[in-house]
Amino acid sequence: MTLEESVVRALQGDIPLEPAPFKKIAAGLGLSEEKFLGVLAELKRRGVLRSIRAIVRHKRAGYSANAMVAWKVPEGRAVSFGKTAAASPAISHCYQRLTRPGWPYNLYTMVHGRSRAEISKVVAGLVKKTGVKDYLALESLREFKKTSMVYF
Amino acid sequence: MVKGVEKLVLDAAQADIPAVSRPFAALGASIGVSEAEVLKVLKAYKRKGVIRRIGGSFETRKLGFSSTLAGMRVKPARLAAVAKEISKFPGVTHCYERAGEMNLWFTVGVHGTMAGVDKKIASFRRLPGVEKCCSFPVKRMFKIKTMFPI
Repeated sequence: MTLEESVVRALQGDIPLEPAPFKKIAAGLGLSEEKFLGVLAELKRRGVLRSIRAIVRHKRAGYSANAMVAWKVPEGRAVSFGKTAAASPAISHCYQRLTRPGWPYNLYTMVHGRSRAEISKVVAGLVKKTGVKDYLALESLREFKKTSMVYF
Repeated sequence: MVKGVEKLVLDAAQADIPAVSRPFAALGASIGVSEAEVLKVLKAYKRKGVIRRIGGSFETRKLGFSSTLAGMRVKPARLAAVAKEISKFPGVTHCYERAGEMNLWFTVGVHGTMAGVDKKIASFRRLPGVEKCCSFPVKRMFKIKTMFPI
C-alpha cells in the first residue's frame, strides 16, 4: 500500500475526537504529524480529498423528507439548469447523467427538506426559474443502505 | 431547540474541519468557541447518532474508482431480498426503495474502469425478481455539498 493509500484508509473512517487527532493517526502509521499533514495538504491540493468534515444523518438532523428528482432538460439547456439547481441550498447533489431508451431524464437533483411540502416548494421554484416542467420526483420509501465508500 | 453554540459547531464541522495540528481549536477559533467546547458538542452529536462519521470526504474518481447510479424495476415481493443482496457488496454505498416505475435505486463503485461497474450491474440484473436495470453514469457534476444546517 502506498503512503497516500494508507492516509486515505486512515481518514475513510472516523478521526479520533481529541485535540490532536492527526498526531495519533500518524503515530499509528509510523509517521510524524508533520509528514501526515503534508500528505493531507497534497491530497487536498490535487482534489482527491474534498474535505475533512462531519457527515450528518439528515433524518436525525430534522430533514425527514428527501426526493431524488429526475428532470428532462433539453441538452442545450443542461448547463444553465445545472447551475441554477446547484445554487439552491436545499439541493445537495446535482448531476447530468446519461439517458437510456424509455428513460429520457438527464438531470438529477437530490432535494432535502423538513417536510414533503418543503420539497414541493423547492421543486416548484426550480420549475418556475428554469421553465423545465417534465420531471419525476422519486421519493425515498425505504433506506436499505447508506454508508461512505471504503476505498482501501 | 438547538442552542446557539451547538448549531455553530455542527454547521461549521459539516463544512470543513481544517487539516492542521489542532483542527478543533482552529474550527472553534473561526466561530468563537473553545476547543474543549467543540469536542464536547461533536462527541454528544456522535453519541446521539446525528453525526454518522467525522472523517475524510474523497473524490472517488481521483482515487481510481468508477461509479454509477442504477435504477431497477423489481417485483414487489422480491424487492427487499434483492435490495439486501445488492447491499452486501461493499461498493454499494446507497440503496433506496423509491416510488415509481423503477422502484430500487443504488449507487455502485469499483476500483478500476467503468467495465468493472458494468459487470457488477450485470450480475445484479440476474438476481431473481429483477425485471429491468439501467445504469446512469455521470456526464457532468454540478454540485456535491451535503450540508444540513441544524
